This record gives sequence, structure tokens and C-alpha cells, in this order.
Amino acid sequence: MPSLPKRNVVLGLIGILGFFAVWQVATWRIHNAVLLPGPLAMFEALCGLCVEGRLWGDIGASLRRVVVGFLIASAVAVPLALALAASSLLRGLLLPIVTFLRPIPPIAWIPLAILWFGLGDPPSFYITAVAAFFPIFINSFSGAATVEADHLNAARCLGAERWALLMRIFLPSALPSIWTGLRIGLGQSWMAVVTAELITAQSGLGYLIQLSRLNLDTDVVIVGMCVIGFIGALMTATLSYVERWVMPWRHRHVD
Amino acid sequence: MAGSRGLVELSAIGVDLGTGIRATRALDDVSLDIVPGEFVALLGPSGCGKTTLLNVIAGFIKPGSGSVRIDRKLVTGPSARCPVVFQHHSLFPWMTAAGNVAFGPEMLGLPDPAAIAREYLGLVGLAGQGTKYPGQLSGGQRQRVGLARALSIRPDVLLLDEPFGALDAMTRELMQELLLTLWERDRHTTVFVTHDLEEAIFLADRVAVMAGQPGRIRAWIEVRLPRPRTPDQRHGAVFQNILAEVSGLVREESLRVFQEV
Ligand SMILES: Nc1ncnc2c1ncn2[C@@H]1O[C@H](COP(=O)(O)OP(=O)(O)O)[C@@H](O)[C@H]1O
Ligand SMILES: [Mg+2]
Repeated sequence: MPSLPKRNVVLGLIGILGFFAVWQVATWRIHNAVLLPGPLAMFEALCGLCVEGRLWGDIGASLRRVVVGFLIASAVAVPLALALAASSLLRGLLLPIVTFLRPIPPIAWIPLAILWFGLGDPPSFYITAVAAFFPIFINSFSGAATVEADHLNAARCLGAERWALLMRIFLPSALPSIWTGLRIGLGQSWMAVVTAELITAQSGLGYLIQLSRLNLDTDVVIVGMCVIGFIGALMTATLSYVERWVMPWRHRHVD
Repeated sequence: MAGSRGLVELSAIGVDLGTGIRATRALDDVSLDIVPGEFVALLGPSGCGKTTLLNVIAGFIKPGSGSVRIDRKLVTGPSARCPVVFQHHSLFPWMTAAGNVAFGPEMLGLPDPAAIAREYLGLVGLAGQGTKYPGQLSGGQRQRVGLARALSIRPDVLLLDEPFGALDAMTRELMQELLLTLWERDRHTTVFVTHDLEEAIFLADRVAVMAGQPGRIRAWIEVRLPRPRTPDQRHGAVFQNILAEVSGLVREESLRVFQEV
């Protein structure tokens, strides 16, 4: 078992090197820095942006929008999902609305978001929150709905009442699914922020890409894309890593 | 305490489960009285309605007809006076062993739940295992935690649903002896569901032999073995005679169901 992660790291590095190699060969063949700048040009652009300081501001702006939207979505979606799982009245009342709103992609909310919130951060908060809400809600709800009947019964015959059942049984039963929802929701939110910034913002990684495209700075466009991919992967990895502290029981088993 | 609390009275219980093609008459006209401090076993082949009957006593299932009373009070839902030890999935996997045992005392607002948890984990021989999660314990250890969890709230009636069914034979016998030791200590009324004849006879004062489709009590067998019970009684003549009698009854019933299918 312990050799497996190491093997994956080696394989991953080989894959990435191979990717850069293919990319480099492709740039030699195409030979047009606007259509496809090479990896070296991209690293140069990356260093330039870092030194200039501009990149940090854009990363910060995008991260701020994602974190705010994601937190709002989590704060609404998780309690709502638990309440719906525990109450058939709320379920009957609200589940159809969620089912109806869910297929609407976050981008489709952009016109309304601009009308309601103007330009700048607020419409982006709205878009990132909408994007994160549904994965978090759906996963939390299905997690809470599959709570073991024996766990509920055991808790009730040990004296647990409504609130204790919700907090001590439903919530931890659903936590693995909630966590999956948070991971997916954060990813969706990150993707949505870039989309929102292409259209509504004056800062952020999406705005950087859009501006550089208009200036035909394709190397900066690609830097922006790589940074987006890198940060997105980093966020997912962080949540996976934090999981062992949030749910210690899932990582302690007899062999 | 013994002799005062834990009177269980069921009268004419009828339960229908499922709908349409799955509709089953799970219990039909079941009546029984259990006196405080008594140890009763419900014995029968799988599917005969043992769990349903236990769930009715626990208040998990509302019977379609008839009534359940504990100490003359009508049972309308689950209560901390009669906790259940389940066969599977019963411990909360997100709580440590000590957390599981402290849960009931916490819910009831008893003083110092952690100390109660330590005390009861000690009683079931798991004093040093309190910080482990259920996933880190063996099957036998988990059932001991389940037992400690139910006993920690000092129940009037203890309900057990095939609690040792998944354990190996040797562990099962040790668990039976532990259960009796704890019962001798507090003398809570106990209803123990099992399909194992020897287990029922070794543990109980009275054995209700159940029959299925529809679920009902077919016969009562008194077990006149002296208490406290000891392992060597299992091989004595009295035990073997009762075993022969119960086997006959259960075999007859199983054969009937077997041939109907
Ligand atoms: N939820 C249910 N819906 C329909 N039938 C059920 C349900 N639960 C149990 N039954 C049926 O009721 C009968 C009694 O079940 P149960 O009490 O679990 O038996 P036992 O515990 O003795 O094995 C069985 O025939 C079983 O198939
Ligand atoms: Mg059963």
C-alpha cells in the first residue's frame, strides 16, 4: 500500500512532462504565438505577471468572490437540506421548487444578477452562491435522507428528541455526503466565478483572461487558465485533506 | 428496584406491515404479560415476527390493534425507559465507544455522563477502549458497547434483538454469561429475541415459542434452572430435556412453513 502514492506521484510527473512535450512540439509546428504560445513563453508571461504584482490582485479578487458565495451557499443549503430530510411537510412544499431551479445553469442567472446587483462583486457573489448551492443541497439532502433507521431508533430510545436527533444523528450521518457536496460545490463555484468575471467584473482571473484575449496576449490567457486549474485542484485537495479532522471515524478502522 | 418496575403488558396486538403485494399480517392477536425483573426470550424462525413484536414494545411501531403498557402506562412512542440493543449498525459510528455510552445519560441530563460511560464500559470489560471508534472494535466488543449504552440509562425494561447472532459460538456464550451477570446486578425486565434454542433456554425464565404467517405466540416454556446460571448447566439433564421439548415445537413449526413455501 505505501508504495502506491509514490508510484502515482511519479506517474503524474511523467504525464505532466509528456503534456508539456506535446505542447512544445505543437508550438514548433504551428509557429504562431497568437494562436498557440509555447510553454516557455507562458512561463515568461507568468513571471512577468508575478513581478508586476497584477496576478496576485486578480487571484485575490476571484478567491474572495468564491469564498463569500460558497459560504453563503453552505450556510443556506446544509440547514435547508437537513430540515427537508427531517420534515415531510417542508419536503413536500420545497423539493419541487429545488427540482425546478436546479437545471438552470449559473451563467443563465448572470443577466438577472447584473440587473439586481449592478456591477462589481455582488453579482459575482450571487453567481458563485447559486453554483455552489445545488451540489451542496442535493448531496446533503440525500445523505440525511439515508440515515439508518436503527440509528434513529437507538437515539430515540436513549432519550433523544427532535433537536438532538437533528444535530447528533442526522447531521453526522449526512456529513460524508455533505462533505462531498462541499467539495463539488466549491469546484462549481470556482468555475462559475471565472464565467461571471468574463462578463460582469473589472478584476479577477476571468477578467484577466478576457482582457488579454482582446489584447491578443494569448500567453497571458493561457497563464490565467493554468492558474485557474491549479487553484481549483488545490482547493479540492485541501478539502480532501481536511476531511480526516472533520470525520475522524472514517479514517480509523481495524484492518 | 427489582420487583417494582418493568411490568410489561401486551393485549391482543395486531400489526399489518407493508402494502399491496408486500402486505403481511406480521402479528396476530399477541398477548403477553412480563413481570418486573423477569427474563423472557422470544424464540422463532426468521420472519415469524420477533423483531416486529420487539419494535411494538419499544414503541417504534404503532400496533394496528391492541395495546402495550409498561408499568400500566400506555406506550405511544419510544422512551428512555426501555432501550434496545440491535443486531447490526446500532452503534453511532461517528462517536467513540465512550461517546456512544455517554449519549443516553447526556440526553436525559444525568450528571457527569463521561463518568457514567467509564463505569459502564468497565462493567462490560472495555475500560481501556473508550477512545476507540466502533470501526476499530471487533464484533463482540461492539455488542458490549451496545449493551453498556443501553444499560447506562438504568432502564426498567431492556430489549435485545438477536444481539449475539453475528458472533462466533465461543464469543456468543461469553456474551450470554456477561449479559446474565449484568442482569443479576440490576434485575431489569429483559426481553431477548433469538432464533437460537440453547441461547433462549440458557438465558430466560420463560421462552415464548413463536410461529409465523401470521406472527403469534404458539407456546410458553418455563425454564426451571436455578439462578445464577452457570456454563455447566448447558450440559445438564434439565437443560437437555427442555431443549428436546422446545426443539420439537420449533421443528414442527419450521416444517409447516417449509412445506407451505
Ligand atoms: N416493512 C415491512 N413491510 C412488509 N413486510 C414486512 C416489513 N417488515 C417485516 N415484514 C414482514 O413481516 C414478517 C415479520 O418480520 P420480522 O418481525 O422482521 O421477523 P423476524 O424478526 O422474526 O425475523 C416477515 O414476514 C417480514 O417479511
Ligand atoms: Mg428480526
